[in-house]
Amino acid sequence: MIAASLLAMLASVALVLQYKQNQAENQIRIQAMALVQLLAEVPFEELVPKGRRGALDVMYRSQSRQDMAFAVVSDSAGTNLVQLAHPGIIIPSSNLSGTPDSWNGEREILLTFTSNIAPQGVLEFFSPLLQGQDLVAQVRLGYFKPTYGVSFSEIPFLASVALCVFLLTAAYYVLMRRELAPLKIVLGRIESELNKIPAAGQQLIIDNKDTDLVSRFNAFVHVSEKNMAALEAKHGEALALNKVLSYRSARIERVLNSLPDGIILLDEMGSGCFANGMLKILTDIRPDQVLGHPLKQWCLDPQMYHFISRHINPRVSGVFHETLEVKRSEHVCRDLLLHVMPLYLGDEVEDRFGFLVVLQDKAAEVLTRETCLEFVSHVAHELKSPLNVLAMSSEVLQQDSALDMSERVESANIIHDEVERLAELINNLLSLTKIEMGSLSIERKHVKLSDLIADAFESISRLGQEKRLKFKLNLPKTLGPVAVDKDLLRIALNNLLTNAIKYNREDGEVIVSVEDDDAAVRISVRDTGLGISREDQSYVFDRFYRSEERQVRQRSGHGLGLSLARDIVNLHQGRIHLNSELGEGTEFIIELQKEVRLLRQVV
Amino acid sequence: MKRILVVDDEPYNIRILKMALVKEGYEVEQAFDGAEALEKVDEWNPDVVITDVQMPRMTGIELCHNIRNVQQDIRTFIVIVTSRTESDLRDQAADMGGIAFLEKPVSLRGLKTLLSDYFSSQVQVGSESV
Repeated sequence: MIAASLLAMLASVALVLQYKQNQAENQIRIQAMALVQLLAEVPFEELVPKGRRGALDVMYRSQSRQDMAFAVVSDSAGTNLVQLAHPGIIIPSSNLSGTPDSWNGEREILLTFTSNIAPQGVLEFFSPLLQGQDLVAQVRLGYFKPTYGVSFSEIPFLASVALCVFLLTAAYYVLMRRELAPLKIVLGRIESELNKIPAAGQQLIIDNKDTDLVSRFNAFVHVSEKNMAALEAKHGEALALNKVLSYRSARIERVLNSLPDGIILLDEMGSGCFANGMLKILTDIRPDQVLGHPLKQWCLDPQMYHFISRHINPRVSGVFHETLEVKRSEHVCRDLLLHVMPLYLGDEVEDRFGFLVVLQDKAAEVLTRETCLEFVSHVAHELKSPLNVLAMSSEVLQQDSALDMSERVESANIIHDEVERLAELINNLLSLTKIEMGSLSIERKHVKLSDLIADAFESISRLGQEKRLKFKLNLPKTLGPVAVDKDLLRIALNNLLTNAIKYNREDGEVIVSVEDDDAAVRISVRDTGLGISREDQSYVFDRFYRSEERQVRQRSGHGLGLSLARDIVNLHQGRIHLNSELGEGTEFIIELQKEVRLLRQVV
Repeated sequence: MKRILVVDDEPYNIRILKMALVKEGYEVEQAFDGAEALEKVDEWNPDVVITDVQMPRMTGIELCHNIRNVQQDIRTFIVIVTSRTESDLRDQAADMGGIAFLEKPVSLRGLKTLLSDYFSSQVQVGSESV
């Protein structure tokens, strides 16, 4: 920097000196040319007088000796007529040659000295003396070339110039530094970042053999852009995943909120993580009271609190599902069954991440349980009787003492009949249970009712032989197919027909008739049997119900046949009707809706 | 011959019991419900009444009660065949003497033993009272 400023100073000083010299030269020139021209106008006689000083002389002496090297008048031959010169100067010869144009002008000559002074440059100005058109003589004036001289008086000037230059350069330097400072910082940062980027990026930059910072910077930017793009993509993926997860989470929460039981999820510490809406109905606890708050804050009912907090106690490990009956109280709106169970992510006790608290409305729960138990005990009871008979009958056959033929046959028959009854009972129970559970779905297919009824008729007519029953079947000729579940409807029909036979009198009748109109089909099963009393008619379709009439009880039965028939008809969205007179007979009518679409009817 | 009245609303029960008991040499009559049973007890005078518990209109216990307290019959031996093992059944009949309980499924051998034991004890009593 210093070198630069020094150079600048020197340059400027040199320029100034150069300028000065040029100025001096020009000054000389102007003066000399004017003088020469002037002298050339002077008449010859004045310029080169005889016996006295001429104009040239006068002029020469008036000039400063320092500037003028010589003044000469030479004739056309080249001899010097008048010459005045600095001492020791060898006056150069003239060159009066060439065209008249060249007689007027200037030239630079190297002037030599007689002594050992080095030759100096001289500017010679000449002009011709003319008489008419002829050249008579030539006036020549020689001036010393101004040199690069520095006089003392000029030094302050030069010094101030140099100082100005120096200050300028210094100021410029400072300003530039200031401008460059942030750039330097940036460069430093880039360098450090370049060292940080992963191998792939490094590779890219190493490949770029050019160590020029700009190109390295470009490579760095390129790598950064690639990274950014990758991050953007990942970000996009994360957003999408987040959306999916929150959708799923919302879905699960909706499911939990739809449950008929109250649900509370507690974390390991016993703070609430989740509570569903049902909680508010069963207790006076609002879900927002639970979220993020410890058990003590929202579980105000003492029974509930003590029960749950016992579970949360960290010293209590390996405790599983526990149930507590909670009575209606100030904080509890219904009689509840409270379940608490720990939740595990893995198999270890340490994997426990929280607790599930389930609150069930006891009324509903108990009712279901009671109904279930009732049903089961009923069934068990029903099964004990046939089992009893089978046990006894088989025991008879096992006896050591001799059985005669009739006894053996009797026992075997009893066993056989009871087994059949048992099978029928179990089938009916299964069908009923399936319908109850909703796992029995009807498969409607278009069935020709005439075939279905004829089949059913066929299979049970054997049973009626003992009583010598008469069977009649009335089917309309134009009965089209109806969309029903063939198997189920057959069971229903079977049950009705079985009853018609079972509860019939000797020499009685079983009449099956079918009639239809546009809307519906009606299947009627009529018997001339015992009939059903007005009272019993309200109950006959109930499960396990059997009339207490002796005549009825004498015949074996489980009380499920009609119940099942009705369930089946209901599944078909139909109705079952009962007409009966005690002692006269009974008629059951199954009514099924047709699909009133004429196109579906196949004639 | 010893007389036994079998009371049950299940026809097959009666059939098999009847067959087994007749084979043992007893005279057997049947009744399908409590009312019929009471009539038969009155008319036929059985030595033993074997009855089921679950019956329409009159349960086995009620029949017992009727025989003992209403008909004032303390002599007839009553065997109650039950499918339940509740003790309260026995409590209900505790104040009435001469009652035995049999659980379904009934073992014929058990029944026969019970009857023969009863009858042999009766013979002793009879001979003692002479």
